[in-house]
Amino acid sequence: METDMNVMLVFRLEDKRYGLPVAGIRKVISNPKVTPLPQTPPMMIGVTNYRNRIVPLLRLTDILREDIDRPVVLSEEQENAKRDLAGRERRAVSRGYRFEKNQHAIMIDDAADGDLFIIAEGSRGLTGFAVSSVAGVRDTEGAIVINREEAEYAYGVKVKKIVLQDPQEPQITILSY
Amino acid sequence: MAFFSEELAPMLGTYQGETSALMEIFDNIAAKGIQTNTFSPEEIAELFRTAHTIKSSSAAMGLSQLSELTHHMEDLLSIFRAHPERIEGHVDDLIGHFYDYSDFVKKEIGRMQENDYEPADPNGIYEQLTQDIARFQNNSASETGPLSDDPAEETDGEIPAFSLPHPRADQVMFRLTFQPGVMMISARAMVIERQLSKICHIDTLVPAKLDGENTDAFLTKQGLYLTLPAAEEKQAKAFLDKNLYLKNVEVISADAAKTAAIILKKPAKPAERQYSMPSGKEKFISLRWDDIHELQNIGGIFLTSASKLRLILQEHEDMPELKEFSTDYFRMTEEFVMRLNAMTMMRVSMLVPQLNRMVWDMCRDSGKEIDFEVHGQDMEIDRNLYNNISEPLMHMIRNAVDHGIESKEERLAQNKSAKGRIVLAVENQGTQVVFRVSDNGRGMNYRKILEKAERENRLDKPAADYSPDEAFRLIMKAGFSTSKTITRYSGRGVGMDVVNNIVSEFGGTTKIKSEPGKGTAISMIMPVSVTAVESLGFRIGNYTCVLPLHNIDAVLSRDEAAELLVTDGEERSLAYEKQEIPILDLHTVFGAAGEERYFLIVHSLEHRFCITADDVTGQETASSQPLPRMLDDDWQTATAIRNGVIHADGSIGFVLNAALLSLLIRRQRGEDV
Repeated sequence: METDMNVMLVFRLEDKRYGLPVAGIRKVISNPKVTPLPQTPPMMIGVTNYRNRIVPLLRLTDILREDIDRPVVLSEEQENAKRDLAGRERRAVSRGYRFEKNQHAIMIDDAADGDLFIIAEGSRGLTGFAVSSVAGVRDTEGAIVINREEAEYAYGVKVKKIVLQDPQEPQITILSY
Repeated sequence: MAFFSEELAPMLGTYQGETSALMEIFDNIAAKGIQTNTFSPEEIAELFRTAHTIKSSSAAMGLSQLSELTHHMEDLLSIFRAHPERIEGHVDDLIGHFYDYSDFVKKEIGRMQENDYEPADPNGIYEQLTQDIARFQNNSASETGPLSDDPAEETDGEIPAFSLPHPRADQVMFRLTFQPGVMMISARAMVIERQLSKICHIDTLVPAKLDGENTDAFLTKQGLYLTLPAAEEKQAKAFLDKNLYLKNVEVISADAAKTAAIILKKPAKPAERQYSMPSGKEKFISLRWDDIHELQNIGGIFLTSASKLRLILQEHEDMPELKEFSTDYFRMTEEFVMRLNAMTMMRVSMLVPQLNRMVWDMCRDSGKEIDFEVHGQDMEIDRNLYNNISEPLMHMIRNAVDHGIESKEERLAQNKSAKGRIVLAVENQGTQVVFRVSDNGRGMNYRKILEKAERENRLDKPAADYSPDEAFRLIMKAGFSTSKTITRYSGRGVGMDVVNNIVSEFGGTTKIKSEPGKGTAISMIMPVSVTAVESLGFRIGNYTCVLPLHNIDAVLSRDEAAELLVTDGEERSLAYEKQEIPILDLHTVFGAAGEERYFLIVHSLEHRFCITADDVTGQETASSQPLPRMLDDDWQTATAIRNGVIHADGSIGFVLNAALLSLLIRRQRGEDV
């Protein structure tokens, strides 16, 4: 089971790559019907009806934007890997897709374009995180930790960030909440 | 240091669960005793067996006081088992003993997981039992037999019987004997078995059930016999040799096992000695309520997708295999959801023992005599309703015993039967469940209620204009109690207002009918599912909201409201029914743009106020859902939104809370709250 913590669903938010451990992920949904909430900060997009439950939808950009940007010089090999990866990731999200790795199947709604949310179970129950696109499943074992920090949002939502540098791939920020 | 040693602590949960289940047997049989005024030989025998089990398991857990106390209970029961005729005339004493004992044990069980648990002293109960044992044992001259007259009851010097298997050639048999004076020997044996089974396979174990009857005596005298595969002899021996509580670990040859088998007596009455757990407890497991709720959600999704599938299939009638398959699928889906829902239903009869108990206690204290009947015990009600109804029910029945039923003398003076009667009737009326508590006591005079209300300035109109129904409704208001006496049970705090508050919180209503001299009937009319509340839907800007119907007094149009409007600077009010009621603008609270086209007159427990809305969408049965946990108390206080609601079309609305609204409006007006 320990290895599960290394398996990430990688997604893009604006122009950065992030990962959430697949263990807690229920589904990736697109274009949910959003009900806005009064008196909440911009990070709280609203709530949606996911399987008859009222689930909050969050956009984490505000805090994640303060991400440390450490310039990393990539070798030619790594640059090539990065290009390949970008191509694969685009294919993955062009249609409804099912990622499978280590027996984790993550269903992505058909027509996975428009507003995408990853529905994940965290310490505060089911939560939906807004993402720009979903890249794929990666095993981050062996990646180098560049930075570690914890960010706190409104209503006590805490997000742990671990910034990793994968020898094979560009930088990725792992979130847990 | 914790009371339970490291070895015993893992068994605590099982012990608590089993003993609680066994206590229900005591409670249920005591409750039956109240109804029938006797105990059958079968009931006494069942209690005896129950006590016996508790005695042994408590001893195994090192709970010597509890074990001793239970031993006394067992002794008392054994007298009545041998002499059922002695019960007559003492049923009430026995019921008292059963309840006292059960209360004590339940309290102990409840405390056991506390870190600093120390067994409580059951002194009073212990002495009561001791006295009664002496009293009932000697109340017949011909009685000379031993206290425990069960032939198979464990007695000193007699080894209980277990048969010993013959080890096969590929097996090895161990005999473990314990150090003299080792306490809790069967618990030690259990620990050995559990630890050993982790490193090798145990083929047979004698005694087979280490928490069973007479195991302690057997283990002390004979030891523990284990058979395992011969290949594992070495590792088992190595493990067992390390155990400090064991005096001897010997390997028994096949021949020696035969001899040993001869030494062990055959059971005298094998069938009777097989004490099994009551009511097949092993068949039950506990489930987390959250998990069931989640399954219900998934069940709902199955149903929705099945009905979508049904529509699609209608266009493909040319595929018989698919049709056959889908029919099965639909049937099983429906059955799945039905069975799941049935799992969450509770029987009314499960409420009865505690109510019976309460009436019995109160009668004993007050000297009243009351027949308490429950009709509709087989009704199954929603689990939420079950959890929430017991408190108001207890209030109502307490009131009936305390204030409704007269004293014996008073009843006889009025040509009534000495015994009063209280009936709880539960019936299903479509989407509602009615709980009606009626008594044949002194009843209430609505004129007296009006007089009192008038004295206390509680009337909104002349007393003469009140109908009896309206008058009875007055006693459901806070602080209104017509009884001047405060008793241990009803006290001052548990008036009808408390009952009514609880009932209306769950969307129910309370109705009172009463006639002086004849009695009182109070009905609580509750929705079948208490999460579903009859509500009014309305819109504020883009937000759809609902408010429970029982909080809403009236809905006024803009024109109607304009005539009543009173403006004082920024503050607006309505002059409504001789009251000036403040207006809360929810558009501002929600930051929503909209138009004030409707004015809703709302009351919370303490206040009446008005909220404005763009539209009123109509009445609906709202099934409220919890909001995400991050929408905490602060947010709920700031918005007056307490819950969410999922409408039939899947969209989400907000359930407003009248108390929070009233708090908001008082804050806005600068009142200290």
